Amino acid sequence: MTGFYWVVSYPKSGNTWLRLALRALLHPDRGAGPLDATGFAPDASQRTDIEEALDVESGDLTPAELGRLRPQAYRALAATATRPLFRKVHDAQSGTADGPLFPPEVTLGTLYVVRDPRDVVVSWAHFAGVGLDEAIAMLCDPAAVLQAPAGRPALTLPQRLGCWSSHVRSWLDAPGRSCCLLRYEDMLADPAAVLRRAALYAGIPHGEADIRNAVALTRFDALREREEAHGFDGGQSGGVPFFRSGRAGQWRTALSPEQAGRVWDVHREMMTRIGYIADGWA
Amino acid sequence: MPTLSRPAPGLLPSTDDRMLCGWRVASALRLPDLLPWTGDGRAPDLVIDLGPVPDRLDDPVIDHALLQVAADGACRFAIPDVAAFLIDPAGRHVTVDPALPPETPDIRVFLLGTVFGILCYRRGLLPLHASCVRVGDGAVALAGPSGIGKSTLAAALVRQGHAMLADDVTVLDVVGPGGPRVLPAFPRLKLWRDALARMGRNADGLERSRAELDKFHLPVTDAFCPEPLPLRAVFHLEAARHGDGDGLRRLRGPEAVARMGRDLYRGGLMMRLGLTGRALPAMVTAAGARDGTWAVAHGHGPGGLDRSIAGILDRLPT
Repeated sequence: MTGFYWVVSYPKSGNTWLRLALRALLHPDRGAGPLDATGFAPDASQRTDIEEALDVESGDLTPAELGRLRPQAYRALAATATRPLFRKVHDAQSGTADGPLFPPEVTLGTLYVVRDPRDVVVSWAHFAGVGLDEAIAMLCDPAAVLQAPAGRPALTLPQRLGCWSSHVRSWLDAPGRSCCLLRYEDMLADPAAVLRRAALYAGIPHGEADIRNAVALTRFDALREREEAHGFDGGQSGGVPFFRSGRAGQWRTALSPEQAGRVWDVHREMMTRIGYIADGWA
Repeated sequence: MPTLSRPAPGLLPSTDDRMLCGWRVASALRLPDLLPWTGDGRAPDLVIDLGPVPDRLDDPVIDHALLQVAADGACRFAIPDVAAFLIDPAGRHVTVDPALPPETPDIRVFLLGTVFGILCYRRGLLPLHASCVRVGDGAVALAGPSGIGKSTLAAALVRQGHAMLADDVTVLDVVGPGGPRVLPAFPRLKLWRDALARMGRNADGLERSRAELDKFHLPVTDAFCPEPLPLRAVFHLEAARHGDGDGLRRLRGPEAVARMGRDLYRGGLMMRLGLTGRALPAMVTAAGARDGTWAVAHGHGPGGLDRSIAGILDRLPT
C-alpha cells in the first residue's frame, strides 16, 4: 500500500504547468513531444479511475452516493498501488459522510498551487469564454461547481470548488501533513527554486541538471510553441490557446478598479494570508 | 462458504419469464426492461431470487468497497440503501436483497450493470463497455469510457433506422463457430435529459433510472434486434482533442487488443475474478472483427455527432 500526492489548485492557477514540470523531472525522456496533460497526474475526478476502484458505473450513482464513495475509491486505489500516485485535483477538500473527500490516511502529500485571484478571474474568463463579471461571481460563489459544459464529454465528475478563499482554506488547514504551498507568481519569478521545493516535498529524486532541464522544457514560451505545433486541449473554450500569456498582474489593466476591488473585498483575508496585497503581491 | 438463501414460501412474487442474451431468465424481481421469453420450454438459464444476502461473505479473497469475492467465486455486490446482490460462482443464480421496494427501478440499474457484467464474465462471455447497433448484416459496437456519449450515438443511429442490440454493455460470444457474435441484451436506452432533448424528445412518461437522477429509460422495443449477430466492427470513442473531431484511425495488432482491454465493461472485475488469462484470447479474437477496430475522435461541438456517424458508416462497406 502506498498513497497519493495531490496536485491541487483552484482552476487557472498553474496546475497544468506544475504537472508538466514535475513530469519533465520524473520522465525526462518524455519531455519534448506533444503536450499531454493526462500523461502525468490524471484528474482525481476522472470517472474511469473511480469506476475501476468501485466496480460500478459512476453515471448510475447519485451525487450523494458519489460523495460518500469517492474516499473509498481512493483508499481502494492506494491499497493496490506499489508506488506513489500523483493526481490532479480541482475539488475543495470537503467533508463527506465517510470522512474527508481526500482521505488523510492515503495522502502522502499535497502540492497546492495558488495564484492571485484577480489574475485567476482574467484567466478563467478567457478560458471559459465568459465575461469578467461572471468570472468574479464564480470566484465569490460558495456553491461553485466545476463540470463539463454542455457539448463536452463528461469524463470527469462534477467538482465542488466553493469560493476561492474557502478552496484555499480547505487545503491549507486540512488535517494531516501540511501542504506544500506554491505561488504561481514565484513559479514565474524563479521556476527552478519552486520546482526544487516541490520535488523535495514529493520525494522526487533530482539533480540540478534535471531541474534545469525541466525548467527549460516547461518555460512558458516553450509550452506555447509546442501548443502551436501540436495543439493542446486543456478544456479551454473553442479557438483560444490554453497557454495564453503566462504573466502575473494582468488584472491591473484587464479589471476595472471596481472589479478588482470586489475581489479584494471578498477575499482580503485569504489574499493577505498568502501574501497578496491590495496593490499586488509581497 | 455462503449459502444461497431462498425467501420463505408465500413471499415469492410471481415469476417473470424473460430473455437476456438468449438466456431464459426466471426472476422474482419484475424485469420490464427485458423482452418476454418466447423460446422453448427449457429450464431457466438464470434464476433471480429475492432473499436475504449476508452483510459479508466469509473470508472473502477480494474485499472491495462494494464488491466481495469468496474463494469459491461467489460474489457479493451491494449499493448501500439500494440493494445487495449475491451471485453464485457459475453465474446462474442471483439473490437480490432489496433495501428499497423491489419494483424500484434503481435496483434493476445495478442488476443490469455490474451484476450483469459479473454474470457475463462467469459464463465465459466478454462484456464490452459499449452500445451496439445493427448495420447491414452485422453488429457494430460503439465503445468508450463513461461520459463519452455511447448511448447518445446509439440513439442517433437507432433514429436513422439501425436496430439496437445493447446499450452500455455489449456481450460478445467469441467461442462459437463463425467468429465473434454479439448477444442481444434488452431493448432500452438510458439517456440523460439533455441527450433526450437533443433528440427532440422530452422525458414525459419515461421511467427515471434512479429517483434522484435526471436519467431516463427510453424503450426501443420496435427498433430492437433480438437475434445474435456477427460482430462487424468495434469503434472506440475518444474525446476529440479540438472539439470538432479529428477523424477515424484503424487500430491493428497489439494496439487494437490494448484498446479492447481498456473498453471492457468493468475490466477490474475480470481481474478480481481471476479471469484475465481467459479473457486475453477473447480480446484478440474480438479485435479481429471483419471490418476492423477503429479509434473515433468523437467531437462534441456542433455537428460532431453527425460527423462521427458519417465516419463510422463510411467504414462499413455495404
